Amino acid sequence: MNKKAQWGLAPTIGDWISWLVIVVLMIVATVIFSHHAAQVKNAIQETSLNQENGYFMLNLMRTPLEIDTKKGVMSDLVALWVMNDKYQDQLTTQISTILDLYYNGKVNWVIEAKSASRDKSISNLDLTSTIKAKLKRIGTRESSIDIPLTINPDDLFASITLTVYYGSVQENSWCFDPLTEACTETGAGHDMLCKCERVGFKFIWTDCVPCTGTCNPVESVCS
Amino acid sequence: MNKKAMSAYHLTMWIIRIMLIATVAIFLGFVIYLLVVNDVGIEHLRTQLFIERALTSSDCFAYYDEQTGRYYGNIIDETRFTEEILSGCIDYGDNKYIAAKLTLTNLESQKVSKLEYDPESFKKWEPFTFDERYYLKEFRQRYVLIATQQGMQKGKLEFEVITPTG
Repeated sequence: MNKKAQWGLAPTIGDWISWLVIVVLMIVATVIFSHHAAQVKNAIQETSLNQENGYFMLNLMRTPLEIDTKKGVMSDLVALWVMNDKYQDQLTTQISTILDLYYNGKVNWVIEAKSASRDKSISNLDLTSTIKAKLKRIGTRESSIDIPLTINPDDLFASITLTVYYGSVQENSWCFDPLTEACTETGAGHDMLCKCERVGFKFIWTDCVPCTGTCNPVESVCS
Repeated sequence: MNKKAMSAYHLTMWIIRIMLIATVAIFLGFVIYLLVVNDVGIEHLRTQLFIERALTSSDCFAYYDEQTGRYYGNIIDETRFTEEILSGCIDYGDNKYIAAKLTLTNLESQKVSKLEYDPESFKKWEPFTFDERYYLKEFRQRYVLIATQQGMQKGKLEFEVITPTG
């Protein structure tokens, strides 16, 4: 090959390599930055959801009610319950009433309280039965707040976490009240027929199988 | 120039060219990055801001306690839950960003109050909300307290918000 031919070919290969570099870099950049954009969007939505959950808890805790014929708010009742089990029934009734009205139907919930010397929880769940049912979507709201405990100087604050289960559930998530929640989900894909098993003090959906037929929530069969 | 020198010269030139192209590519990537970040869908955020403003602004529904001299966000003053107050406290000028329907349900008396924000746009946009590329329709609800003449009562405020996408 002569000199001209040699150097005539080289720039062509160089051009191709250069274009390849540009294309590869742009693809990489687009992938990286698209991923980053999705992360930003998720972060924004998560922040706004946390904020909504915070407001929900705040308003719940300042809901007025009567305690021992005296006017008070929900956080007083929660603080009293943390110190004394006598208030458990009233708290259960109050929380159930508000949440059922708010969600237009029966929902399940758990309140957990942690303070320096106490660690307790209540819920409106039935922890004794074993249930089989078919369920799918999950809908939960988890909110936390610290409330003062003014009775005991060694135990000043309790951290309260409220978890509300207002939708049906998915495999390996908690399962409650399956008969009212079953067969409510529509949309893409198919429903799942699951077994609700007690694991420790939780009920968890396991052994989910697809149900492409008609779901019977009472008999817990897919036909 | 001899062969070796010429070859070295061309090699150097190509290295410089490739470096330049890489620099340009990185610059282009950076431009894409800026575009993408600026183009993150903020429709949800827009809805969120609308709701926050309606519930927490002293010009909107927030309850004012004369004893403490404070406004309380997320507590609705029943007397302020009107279309005049809402359209006066949230003003986008000529830019139509939000149209909404609000339903306040008193969970104790079951009284229901409804009001609309920019009803004309709502009517105009609603038929197109099936395609989220143009209009996004969102349903949100909030547990609120309602300051009534009978005292604080439990309530639920539902928002049906439509916002143009992009």
